[in-house]
Amino acid sequence: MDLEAPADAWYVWLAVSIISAAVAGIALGLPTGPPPDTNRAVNTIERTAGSSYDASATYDHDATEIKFDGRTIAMRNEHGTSRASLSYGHVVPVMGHERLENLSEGRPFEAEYDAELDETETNALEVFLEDVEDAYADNSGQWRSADDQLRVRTVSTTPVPTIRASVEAISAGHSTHDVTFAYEANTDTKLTFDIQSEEQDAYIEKTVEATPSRETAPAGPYDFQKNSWLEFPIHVNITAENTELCEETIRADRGSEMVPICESGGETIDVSNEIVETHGYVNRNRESESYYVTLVTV
Amino acid sequence: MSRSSPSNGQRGQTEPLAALVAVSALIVGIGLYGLYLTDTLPGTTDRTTEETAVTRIKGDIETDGVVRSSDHDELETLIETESLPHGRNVYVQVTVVDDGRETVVADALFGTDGQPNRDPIESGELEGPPAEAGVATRPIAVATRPGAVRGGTLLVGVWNG
Repeated sequence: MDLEAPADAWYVWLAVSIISAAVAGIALGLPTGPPPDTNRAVNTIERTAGSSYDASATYDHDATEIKFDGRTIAMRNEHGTSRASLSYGHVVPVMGHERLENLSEGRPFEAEYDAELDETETNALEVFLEDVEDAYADNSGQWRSADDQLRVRTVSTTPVPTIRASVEAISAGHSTHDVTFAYEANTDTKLTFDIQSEEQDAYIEKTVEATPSRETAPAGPYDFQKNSWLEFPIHVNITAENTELCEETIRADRGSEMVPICESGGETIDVSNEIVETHGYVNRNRESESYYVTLVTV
Repeated sequence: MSRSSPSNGQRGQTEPLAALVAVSALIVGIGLYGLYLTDTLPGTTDRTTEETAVTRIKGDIETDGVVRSSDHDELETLIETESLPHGRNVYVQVTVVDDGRETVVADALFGTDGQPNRDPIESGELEGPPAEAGVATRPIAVATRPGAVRGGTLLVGVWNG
């Protein structure tokens, strides 16, 4: 190499300019900060959603926007985008849905849905599950602006109403004119007993208010329709909240004894089985007969 | 000829070596800064699915705080599909220390679909979690036979299929 070349030759200037521009490009291209750590956010969510008890967690992230798309979560800020997938649980992003945001911040379900729980006409579970469905549909697949904390909480609902009911039909020969109902439920709910004789055109239709304590009620003379007695075999059908719960046929040989129609721990008012079946994010706890959902807000 | 003539190419001549050294030093400096940055900037955390998995699996296989193990392939019936991470391979192993040696008392392999698959274990192809797996362990109590409870280890390896 001829190091004695004159430095003011045009090609030397050109070369130095090119190198300077390249170096400036590299210097400007160096990152000034990291992209959001989605893996860590997802680890936080997963530890909560994956645990078998009610849990909550928070994570201070540095993303400006977040997107939930099924099991995949993407976060971005001015330094880039990163994404990660959940291996456990299925979360519902609740940004912009005030009641669910309150729940995700730690308010108990009973407090937030107090009004609906008190009102017998509305079903708090149904209202809650509809809210959850709305929030999921709203926030899925959309970039949402995020503040600095991600909060995740598993929320359990109040137990799904469990119904226990039995019927005693005192048999007098082949018929009965003395029917007693025994019933209880883990919440206040209306139960309707439909008893239809299979042999003759006569029936009993009685609606009672079931409560957590066991109660009995006789079928009064006005409850018998079309006839004042029922011929065995009789067919018993129990409905609650427009849901047919259980049925049973009682023959003469089982008259004069309490025949369980809905067994304890078995039949529940399935308000929203459809939601559980069609949406992966609502889970059902078989032991406590409640639903649980993992809510996330950022 | 006069040396001051502008046409002889000698005017303002500088030694180019100094310029070359200066440019190289600048490049090296920026390179070092770049290396420093990549070390200093917090990278992304590793996913810790195996930690959740080991907690869930431990809960599944224990009864009253003890794992009752009699068969090698018993784990598959004890571990619920819900306890397995979605769409990932899982290897589960229970070991006890017996006469100073670690013995495998039970193991199981679940594919990405959550279904147990004993073939790689039976054929000896898989004796532990593969190198790419994230591994978590928990101490557990193992009843090797009625009345004999030993300390053991539950190991769970999780990797992408």
